Amino acid sequence: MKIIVCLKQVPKNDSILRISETGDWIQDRDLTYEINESDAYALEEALQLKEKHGGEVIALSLGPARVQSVIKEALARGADRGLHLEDPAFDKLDAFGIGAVIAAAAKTEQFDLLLTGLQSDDFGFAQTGVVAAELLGAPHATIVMAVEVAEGSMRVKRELESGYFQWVTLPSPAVLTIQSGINTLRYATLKGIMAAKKKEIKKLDAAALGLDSNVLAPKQQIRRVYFPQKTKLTEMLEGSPSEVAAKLLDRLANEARVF
Amino acid sequence: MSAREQQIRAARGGSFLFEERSSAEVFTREDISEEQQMFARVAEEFMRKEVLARSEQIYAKDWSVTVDLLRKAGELDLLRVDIPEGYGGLGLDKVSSAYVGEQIALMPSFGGSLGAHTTIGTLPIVYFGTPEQRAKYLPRLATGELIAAYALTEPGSGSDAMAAKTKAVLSEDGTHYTLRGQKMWITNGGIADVFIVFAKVDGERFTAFIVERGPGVVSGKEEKKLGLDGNSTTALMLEDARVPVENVLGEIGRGHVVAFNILNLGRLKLGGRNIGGAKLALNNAVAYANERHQFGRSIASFGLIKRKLAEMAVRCYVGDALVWRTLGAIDCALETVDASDPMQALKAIEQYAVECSIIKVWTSEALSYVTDETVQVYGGYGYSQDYPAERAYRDARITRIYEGTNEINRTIIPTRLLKSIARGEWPLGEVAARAMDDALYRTDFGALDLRGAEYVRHTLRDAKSTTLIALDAAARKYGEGLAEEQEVVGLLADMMIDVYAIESACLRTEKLVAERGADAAGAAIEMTSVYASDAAERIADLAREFAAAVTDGDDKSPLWAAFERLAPLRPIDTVSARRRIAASLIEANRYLW
Ligand SMILES: Cc1cc2nc3c(=O)[nH]c(=O)nc-3n(C[C@H](O)[C@H](O)[C@H](O)COP(=O)(O)OP(=O)(O)OC[C@H]3O[C@@H](n4cnc5c(N)ncnc54)[C@H](O)[C@@H]3O)c2cc1C
Repeated sequence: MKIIVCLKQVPKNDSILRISETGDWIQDRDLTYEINESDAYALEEALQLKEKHGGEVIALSLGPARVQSVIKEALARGADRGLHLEDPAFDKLDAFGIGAVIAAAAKTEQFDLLLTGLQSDDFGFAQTGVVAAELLGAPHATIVMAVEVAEGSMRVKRELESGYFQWVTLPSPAVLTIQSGINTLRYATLKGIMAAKKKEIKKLDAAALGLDSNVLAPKQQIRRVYFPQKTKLTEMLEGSPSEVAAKLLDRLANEARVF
Repeated sequence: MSAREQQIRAARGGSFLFEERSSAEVFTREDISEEQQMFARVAEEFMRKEVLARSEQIYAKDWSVTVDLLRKAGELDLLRVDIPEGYGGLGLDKVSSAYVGEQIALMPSFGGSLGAHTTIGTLPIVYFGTPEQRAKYLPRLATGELIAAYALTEPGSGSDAMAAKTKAVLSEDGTHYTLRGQKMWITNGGIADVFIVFAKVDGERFTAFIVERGPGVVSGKEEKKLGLDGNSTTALMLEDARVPVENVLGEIGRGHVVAFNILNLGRLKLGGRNIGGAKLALNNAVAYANERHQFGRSIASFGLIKRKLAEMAVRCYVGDALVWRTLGAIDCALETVDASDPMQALKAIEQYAVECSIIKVWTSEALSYVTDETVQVYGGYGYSQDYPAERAYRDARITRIYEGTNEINRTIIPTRLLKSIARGEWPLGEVAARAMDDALYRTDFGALDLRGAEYVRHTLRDAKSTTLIALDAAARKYGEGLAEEQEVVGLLADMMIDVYAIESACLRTEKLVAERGADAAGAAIEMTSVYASDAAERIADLAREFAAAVTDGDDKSPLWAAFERLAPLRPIDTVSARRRIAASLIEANRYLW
């Protein structure tokens, strides 16, 4: 089985956030990075599938030179080789553009399974995998909790709302977006890190993928980024003690949703 | 000469007093490679997700958890870093090893367990084991299947380790030794399977043995300690324990070589853990100071709190400069010897005995300072077990006691250097005479209008000259008798320590400026200048105390004039500099270097 796992490098959640001079994103010189959380679970799922069914795991990441550290991390945990999609033209892509580049890169490999995380911890679009699947003409399933592979097809468990699940069967090749927490992440080992140095990381740019600027033109744009304004609102609940208690319970359950 | 060759030549142990260094010649924390960072990330993740998550059980002394975690660390290869390839190890460099070790400082109790296993427990076999001993033990120590401990100290012999009373007697058939005696304060005492035990063959010849747990090897009860309450420390009773002759480690009668050589590496790695712990405490202090409000403002906005935060940062920055410079130098030295010959490696490391002792003393005192001030920043909450400051404060205290007390290490610093001077390795007399002449006839008191790197360089030169003149005067006045003048030895040690510290910080910062520009290195320049200014004042004071002691009331002694001319005319404005350092900490809400 040949599995491609898409890994996004995202700012660590304890990063210092300052808005950039252009006002449309955060200042990247202050940031430290890590693998997007649900992508790490996708990688683990891929490694476990490979252990069960044999084959190959390819770690793919799109972004500037720094994202190579994400690929190296995946190689250290056991991925077999890397694909680094890097081009100045990829710098300001929206979810559609990223999906398109990933789809183009995936086409260069005869993959059986393309995994992404459910969504990224920075933008949170939850679209990349779905867009790539559509562009590849492959079936997809989102919020995947479990994967069972059979000959030429797979059965996957999807998370629905309110504790419901759905099992669906898909033919391969397919695209799955993986939910966080579905398996136990392994650590890289020091030997794994040393072995990773010998593994190949192939670079592909827009030209190599045959992508022109039409495909990459953003369909969506971030105009302005700002910190949410902190506001305090005090509201007095009035009535008899039992009325107040009932109102409070209602607010807690339906507005604050703490129950 | 290639850059690497230049670094190797410059790395020579003891050279810091006699030669001028450029920043390209030294290793700094900023030179840690991507791969080394990945190694450390594994250790950090393991500490956060596995070890800290079980702290309650560890502090409740459920040692089965500690043992499981050590094995888990073994699975991630964290126990094989220093073990040679071919014996189940990775044979990595000392920078990698110390950087992994620094992450372990996230929990000093567990760090103590792991460090005792990998360093003082395992390294004696790495460096002194026969091929058979190495093959028998190292692969199992690498996985954590066997846990190791080091048993040198006894009830009656601590600092004076050679006065051990534990006795080893050879059996009549010559197949085994019978060991009888008691060891004290053995880290991992309650959980170890293998002990490196020091005993005297026939009560005379001090010798190291590999002793497996078994009949006659009995652990005492857990000691109730001030800190490190999450690791096992017990006495070890040897009640006619039978140890096969194959388990003599190193040569009979040469146990001191095993005991003392292992300590150099232990001290150096402890240095990395100490500064790791200090940075952790500082980060807690900064975050707390930002959060806590009194008088309607954050306590971080008060000058006296800023001063503390800034000084803590200075100690962390300078401490890392010392530790990583020395680790890098040792890795350079190890590159020049045959890696497959452990004795050559040890000789290379031994050259740095002075630097290793400096690091032990400096970093343990920095850690004590930082953890103490962290308690102060937390106020009453610093005194509470519900906040992290209290435990960090208690855990820090041991680092000034073990791996050789700071008193013992202070005596080592000048005496070891004077020994290599006596062997003709460094021309102290000549260099000191020149420094004296330069001081007496100097006209450039110009440090006043110097700033940044130039100021630090100027201060460093004067501090070095002062120290060289003092060392030479002490050597000439006391000769062999200097050892009995411990207070004077202590003054010399403190001067040497500060010289190495100023220079290491200076080189780290110059390298930062060269690579990232003065703007990006702003706070580093401030921290280095503050340290240099304070250290220059300290060294001048030490020199005056020294002169008073050695000149026997002769106020015409040229020492007075020389020290006066080498003393700083006045300090820089450290109040403003510390405010700026604090501002960068407060804004980032943590220490960034
Ligand atoms: C938690 C803990 C863990 C330990 N782990 C280990 C271990 O794993 N293995 C092991 O073998 N040991 C271990 N030790 C022992 C430790 O190394 C000794 O406690 C230390 O070497 C000091 O010896 P001592 O306690 O006998 O003090 P002493 O040697 O009696 O010293 C008492 C005081 O006198 C000073 N002093 C002694 N001699 C001189 C001198 N010549 N000049 C000036 N001052 C002097 C000392 O500096 C100290 O201040 C551990 C100790 C503790 C507390």
